[in-house]
Amino acid sequence: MTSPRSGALLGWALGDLKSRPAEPLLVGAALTVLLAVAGTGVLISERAALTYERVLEQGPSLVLHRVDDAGRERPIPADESLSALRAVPGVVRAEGRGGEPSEAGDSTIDEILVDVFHAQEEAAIVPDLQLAVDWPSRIVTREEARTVMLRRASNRGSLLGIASLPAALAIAALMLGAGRARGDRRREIGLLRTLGWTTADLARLFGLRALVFGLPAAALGILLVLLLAVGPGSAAAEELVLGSSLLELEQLGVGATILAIAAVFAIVWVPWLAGIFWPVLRSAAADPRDLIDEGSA
Amino acid sequence: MTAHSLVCDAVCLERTDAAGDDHLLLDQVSARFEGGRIALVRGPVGAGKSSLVHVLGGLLRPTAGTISADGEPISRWVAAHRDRWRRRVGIVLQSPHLLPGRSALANVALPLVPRGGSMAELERIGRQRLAELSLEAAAKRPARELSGGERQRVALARALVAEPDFVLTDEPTAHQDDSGAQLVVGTLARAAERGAVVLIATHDRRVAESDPPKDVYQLDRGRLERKQ
Amino acid sequence: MTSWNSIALAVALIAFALAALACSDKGTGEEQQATPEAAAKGLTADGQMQVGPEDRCPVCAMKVAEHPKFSSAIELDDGRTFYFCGTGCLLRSWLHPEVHLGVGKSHLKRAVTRDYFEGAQIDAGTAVWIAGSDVIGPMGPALVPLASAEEADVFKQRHGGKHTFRLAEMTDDRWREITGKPSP
Repeated sequence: MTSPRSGALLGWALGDLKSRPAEPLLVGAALTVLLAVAGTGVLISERAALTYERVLEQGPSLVLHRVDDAGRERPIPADESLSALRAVPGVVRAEGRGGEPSEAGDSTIDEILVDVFHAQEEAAIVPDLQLAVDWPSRIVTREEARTVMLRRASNRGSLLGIASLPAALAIAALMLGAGRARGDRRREIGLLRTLGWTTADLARLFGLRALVFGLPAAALGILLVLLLAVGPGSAAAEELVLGSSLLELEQLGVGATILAIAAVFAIVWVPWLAGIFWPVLRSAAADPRDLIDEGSA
Repeated sequence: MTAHSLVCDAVCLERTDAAGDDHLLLDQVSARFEGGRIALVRGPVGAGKSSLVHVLGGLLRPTAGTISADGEPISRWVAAHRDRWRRRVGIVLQSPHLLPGRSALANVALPLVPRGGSMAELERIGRQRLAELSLEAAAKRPARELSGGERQRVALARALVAEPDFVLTDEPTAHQDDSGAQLVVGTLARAAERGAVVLIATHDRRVAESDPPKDVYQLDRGRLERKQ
Repeated sequence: MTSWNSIALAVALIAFALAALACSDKGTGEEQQATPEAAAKGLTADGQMQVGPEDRCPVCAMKVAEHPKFSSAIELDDGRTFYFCGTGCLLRSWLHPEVHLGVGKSHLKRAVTRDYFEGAQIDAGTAVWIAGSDVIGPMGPALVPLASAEEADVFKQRHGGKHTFRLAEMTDDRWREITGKPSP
């Protein structure tokens, strides 16, 4: 229920929109797109980070590959390598994966997964593992894998999220600075104050105008984010943000999703709202006659 | 009927133009404008009539002197308080300053919008004001489609829509034919009968020669003199 | 505006109280406390720990189940068992059970801890302990138990270690020497 005071103001704001629909529609569309793009980027990369973390936790502490001088991977002799590694103090488990089984006892494997008990042992045990086998090896710890995966997960996604800030600032600048629009706005503020509108009245009007197209824009933007990042559109979005959609991404909890959307929302909306209210506040102390005169013939 | 008054006490207004030169637009203007009467301020173009209206209406602050309304020194108030005071003022400027994309009715209702009430109520009041100035037919037309004379009358309707205690007008009969001018003066006279302070700044002889009794002032190069 | 001041003061006081409460959870328990609660389930017949979700470390009050890799235990002669979040808390209680467990030394029956390399539960009395390495436990630099002297050597090569000791050697002076802190 709108209070009596805002009933007419709301009606006026709607009338404004009807008489000059172009700019609000454009800005509204820009906000929707911005929110959708940034929100999707952030959410997909958060989901990816969560997924990679879970995968890593369930995976081994270290992975060993045999390499040649050129760094290419070679098959590993299964039996001798596994028994050598299992003898290293600190190795809780060593298993082979892939490769060619053989009845003759010379089966090979592609890689060896090693588990240690304490995470701090992952990096410390590497020299002893390398010494235990008599071939050159490349060893990746869980920590190193995590760093690589997180970087991949966050790159484009957070770029999109971060890029939304300058884009939002650009919109704010557009609303503030566009020459003719600025003059029009100053004249409008000057006229309204001449007719007895207070700064609070003006703030209410500008706020209502912004909400009238801002809220639908935000709702649409959030809907798009949910469709793209969480719902049926997410395969395509994953392709775009992560560069591939190999893994089935985990869903974030409701709380985390809301938080991520709220953060992007704030980044997009705060500069834009500042652009809306700043002219009102700036003109509060100016004499109305000066505002009306601006740019008039 | 409460008696309103608008008093100028040694008011000066100095402005610096684009070239950096100072101009004294109002020079020691002192006067007492009483409610219930029309004050006619005559003077040639450039005499300072517009400046007087701006300063009286709180659109500008005087460089020196004080303006008091009903005993309150409004020209010394901070911007926020003057904003509130301006709600009691109905002002018609030389250009009508209408919102071109909105209808005549919407323009008239504009001062009432932030003060509460529904749009329907505002429209009802607006239509009444328009009818008083023979503009009912133009109510729903966008302001940009109105003639110069119609626009000026819409501006007057807007100034009177909130039944203000102080009505200040700058060339309100501009672009009006004789019957239009008569309508304008008659409407202003009715506002004065309500007890409002009504000021008409104009060089239009038709206003001087019209019926309602007036206090006449002459403004010449920023100096104000009471004539009768 | 005085009502705002009162509200602000009340909020500040509540925040302070909450902070104090939170901090006291992680204190080193140096003040005398009432006899702490024993664990819900004691050690099994073959000396395996059975840590319950509500069991708290009697020294620092952290939930032991949240720190499974360093968890340790002391069993008393009356059958009561206490689980600890880390080896530091275990050793403090072993050294001064009258302070942390409310019983005299004569009532200590056995201590169990986890071998650093395998995680297997071992007798703390037969373990080789290393202090001053680069390994960090739940409460800071860890006191690390290893199942054998050979394992201890490998550990020292990987992580360093200024001091090596057995449980029987632990005294207030040795404690001060190893940790640099006064007796627990």
